[in-house]
Amino acid sequence: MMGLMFIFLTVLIPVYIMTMFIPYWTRKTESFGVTMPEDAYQQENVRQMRRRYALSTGVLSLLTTIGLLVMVPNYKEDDVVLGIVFACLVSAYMVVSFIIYLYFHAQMKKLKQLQPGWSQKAQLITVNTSFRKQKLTYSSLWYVIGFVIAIAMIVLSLVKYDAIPERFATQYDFAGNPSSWSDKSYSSVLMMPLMQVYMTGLFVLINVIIAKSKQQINAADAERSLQRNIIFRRRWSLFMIWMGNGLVALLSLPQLSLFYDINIKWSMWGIIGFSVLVVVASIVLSITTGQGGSKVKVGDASGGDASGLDRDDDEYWKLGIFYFNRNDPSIFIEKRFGIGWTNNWAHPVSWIFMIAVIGLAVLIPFLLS
Amino acid sequence: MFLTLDLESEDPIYTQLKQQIIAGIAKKELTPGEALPSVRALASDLGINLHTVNKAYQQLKQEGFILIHRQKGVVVHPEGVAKADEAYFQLLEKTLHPIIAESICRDVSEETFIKLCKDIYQTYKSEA
Repeated sequence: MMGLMFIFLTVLIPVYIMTMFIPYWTRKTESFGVTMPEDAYQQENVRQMRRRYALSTGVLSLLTTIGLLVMVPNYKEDDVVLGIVFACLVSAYMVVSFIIYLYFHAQMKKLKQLQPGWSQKAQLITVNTSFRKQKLTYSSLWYVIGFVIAIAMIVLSLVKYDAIPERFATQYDFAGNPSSWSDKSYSSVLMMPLMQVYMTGLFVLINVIIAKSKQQINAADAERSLQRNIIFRRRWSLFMIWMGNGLVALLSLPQLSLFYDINIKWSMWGIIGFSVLVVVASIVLSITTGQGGSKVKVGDASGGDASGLDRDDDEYWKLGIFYFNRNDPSIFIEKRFGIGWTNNWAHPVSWIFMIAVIGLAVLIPFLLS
Repeated sequence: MFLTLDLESEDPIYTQLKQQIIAGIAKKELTPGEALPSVRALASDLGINLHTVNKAYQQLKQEGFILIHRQKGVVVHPEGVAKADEAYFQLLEKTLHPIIAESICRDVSEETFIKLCKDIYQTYKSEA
C-alpha cells in the first residue's frame, strides 16, 4: 500500500490538479487554445466553460482513482503487471482528458465565431529591444554542482570498484526489497553516474531554453507584461536549479550504497520526500506565477487596455496546442494551454532537439547494459 | 524601447521596423552606442522572417542610424546620426512635395500644416 500511496501522492494528484486547473493558470488572452481579448476572460459563459472543464476532468480523475483502487489489490504480487496496469490507466486518463480538452477547444472556437469583436482588432506584436540584455535566468553555472557530484560519483565508483559486490540490486520495491539485479561490470556500475551527467546536461539545456524562448508581451499592456515575463522566467529557472541539483545529489545515495553501508530505506525516503516537495513547490509556483507570469502583480493597472487583442495567431496553433509556423524563426515558445514552453514544430531544430534528448535517454542505458 | 508592429497594416513590416527604430532614436529612447537585438533574436521575438529584419537593419545601416559589427552585434550609431547635409535637404524637399501638394488639394491651409508639423516636433521633445 505504501507504493500506491507514493505513486498517488507524487504522480497522480499533481497530474489531476495540473489538468483541472490549467485553464485558470494560462494567460487571460488564451482560453482553451483560442485567442481572445483579455476582458472576455471574465465573461460568464467563458467562466462557465472553465468550471465545466474542471468538473469534467475532476470526475475523470475520480474514476481513474477508483479504477486504480479496484485493480491494484488483484496484482499485488507482481510488480511488472502492476506497472503495466498503472501505465494503462494513466494513458487512458491522458487520452480521455485530451478528448475533453478538444471538446472545449471546439466549443471555444464556436464561441469566438459568434463574437466578431474578438477577431477584428489590429494584429499587434510588441517587443522590447533591451529584453535580451536583462537577467532572464539564473546562471547555468549553478549546475556545476550537479556535474561535480556526478563526476565525483564516477571517480568514487572506480576507486571503490573492488568493494562493490559481484551482483548488486538496481531496483527496489516499495518495501525496500531488491526487485532487479545487475552483474558487476564497469558499465553497470557507471550507469547511474552517467545518468546523473545526462540529467544535469538536460537541466542546463532547460535553463538555456528558458532564456532563449520567444519574448511574448501583451501589446495592450507592454510595460507590465514585460516585467511579468521576466519574473516568470527567473522563478522557473531558480526552481529548476534547486530541483535539478537536488535530484542529482539524491540519486548519489543509491550509488553510494553500493560500497558504503547506507540503509536503502534512507535514500528511498529521501527521494520520496524530495519528490513530494518538488511537486508541491511546482504547483505553488504555477498558481502564484501563472503562465507567462500572468498571475504576478506588478505596478498599477492603469494604462492597460484589456479590450485590445494581441496578435491572433490561432491559425498556427494546430488543435490549439501544437505551434506550427514556418515564418517564425523561433524554436521555443510559451505553451498556450499549460505552464511552460513548447516547440515551433515547423522548425527542423525542434525535431533534432527532441530526437537527441529522447535518443540519449534511451541510448545510455542501452549501450551500457 | 518597445517596438510595436501591425501585421494588418498596409506598410511593409520592414518599413514599420525601420521607422520605429528611427523614432526611438529621435525620442532618445535609443541612445548612441546602445545595443539592439541581433537579427535572429529580433526575428524570433517578433515571429517574422529573418530577411525582413535583415532588410530593415541593412537600410538603417546604409542611412547611418546603426552599425553592424561582426563581434559587438548591432548598435545605434555611437557618434550619433550624421547631421543633415545638402543631399538630405534635397531628399526632404522631394519627400514633402507630394504631401504638401495633396494637402493643398484638400484645402489644408499653410498655418494648419505648419501647426501640425510643430505639434509633431513637440511630441518628440516631450517624450525625450
